[in-house]
Amino acid sequence: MIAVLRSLLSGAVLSGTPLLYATLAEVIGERAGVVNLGLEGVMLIGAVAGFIAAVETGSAAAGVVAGALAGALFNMIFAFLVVTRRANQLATGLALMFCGVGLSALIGGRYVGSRIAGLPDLPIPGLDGIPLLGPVLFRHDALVYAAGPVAVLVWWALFRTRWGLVLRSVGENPTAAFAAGRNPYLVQYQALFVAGLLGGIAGAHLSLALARTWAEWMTAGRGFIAVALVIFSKWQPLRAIAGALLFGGAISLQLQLQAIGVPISPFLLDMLPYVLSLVALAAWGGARRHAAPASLGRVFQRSG
Amino acid sequence: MLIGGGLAGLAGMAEVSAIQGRLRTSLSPGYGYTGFLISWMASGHPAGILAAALLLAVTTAGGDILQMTQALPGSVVNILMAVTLFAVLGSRSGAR
Repeated sequence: MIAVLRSLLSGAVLSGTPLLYATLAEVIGERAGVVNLGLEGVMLIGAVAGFIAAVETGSAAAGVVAGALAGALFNMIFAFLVVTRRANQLATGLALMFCGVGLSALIGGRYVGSRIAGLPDLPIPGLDGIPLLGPVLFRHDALVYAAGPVAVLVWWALFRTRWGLVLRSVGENPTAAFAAGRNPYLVQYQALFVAGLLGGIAGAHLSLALARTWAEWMTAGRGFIAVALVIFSKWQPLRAIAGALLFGGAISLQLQLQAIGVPISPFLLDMLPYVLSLVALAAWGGARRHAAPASLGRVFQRSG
Repeated sequence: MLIGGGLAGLAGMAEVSAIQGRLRTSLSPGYGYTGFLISWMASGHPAGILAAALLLAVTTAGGDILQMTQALPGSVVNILMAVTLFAVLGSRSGAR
C-alpha cells in the first residue's frame, strides 16, 4: 500500500512538471493579452527538437536547451500572425497546433523508437532517505527541482519587476500602455518568446525524462490541459504549482490503476485528467470575470 | 448548442460508416478542431463554410496522395493544412 502511494505521489510530481512549465508559459502569454491554443504544438516541437539534440550530441542538457530554443522560435510564427498581422488568436493557435503536430512528426520520423539515457535522476543526498517524502520529492531530474523555483521566478518577474508591470498593463489595456509610451507589440513578442522557451522545456521534459523516447503526438493533449490549468490557477503562477500537481496526480493515478490491474476500461481511465478539467472549470470557471486580464484575446490597433 | 452537438454526432457517424467502415479509437484525427477553423474562416456564413470545408478537404486528400506516392509520413497533411490556414489568417490582417 505504501509502495503504491509512493509511486502515485512521485508520479504526480514527475507528470506535473511538464504541466507546470506549460502552464507558466500560457500564464505569461495571457497576462500580456494573448491566448495561445497552439501550446500543444510548441510542446511537440520542444519535445522533438530536444530528443533529436539529445540523440545526436549524447547530452540531455543540450536537449533541454535545444527544446527551449526550438519552442521559442516556433512560437514566433504565432507571434508574427497574432501581433504583427493581427490575426484571430484562437484560430491561429489551433493552426499552430496542427503545424506543430505535422512538423514534429516529419522531422522526428527517423527517431521513432530510438532510446536515450535521458535526463539523469539526481537524488539529493541526505534528503532522499526520508521515508515517503524522500522518494516523492528528492529523487528526480534537474527539471523537476527547477520547476518550483521557475514558478516563483515567473511570479517575481510578473508582479515585482517593471517589465512585469508593463506586460500586465498591455494585457489589461494596451491602449493605455501605448499612451504611456510603451510598445504593446514589442511586449507581446517578448512575452510569447519567453512562453515559447517554457513550452519547449515542457515538451523536452516529456521526451527526455518522462517517456525517454519520441512518438508522434506524444503530448496527448497536455498543452490543452495547461490552457485549462491557467483558468484553474486564476492566472497566478504560484497557484499553477498546486494545479499542476493535482493534474499530474490525475495522470499518475490513471497509470497506477492500470499498473495494478484495476478492472476498469483503460479508455475510461484515460478520460480522468480531462474529466477533472471539466469539473474544475465548471466549479471555478466563473471566476474568470474577475481574474482574467481585461484585454485577453482582443486585437490592439495602434490608431484606435 | 443542442443542434450543434447533434451535427457533430452526425459527422462522427459519417466518418465511421462512410469513410472508415469500422470503429477505431483514434477515429477523428483533429476534425473537431478543423471544424472550428472552417467555421471561423467562413465567419459563420453557410456558403462560406462549404467553400472553406472544400478547401481543407482538398488539402487533406492531397496530403493522402502525397503520403501514398511520395513516401511522406501521414502527418505531413497537418503541415499543409497549417500553412493554408496561416496564409488565410495572415492575409486577413485588421479585418476586424
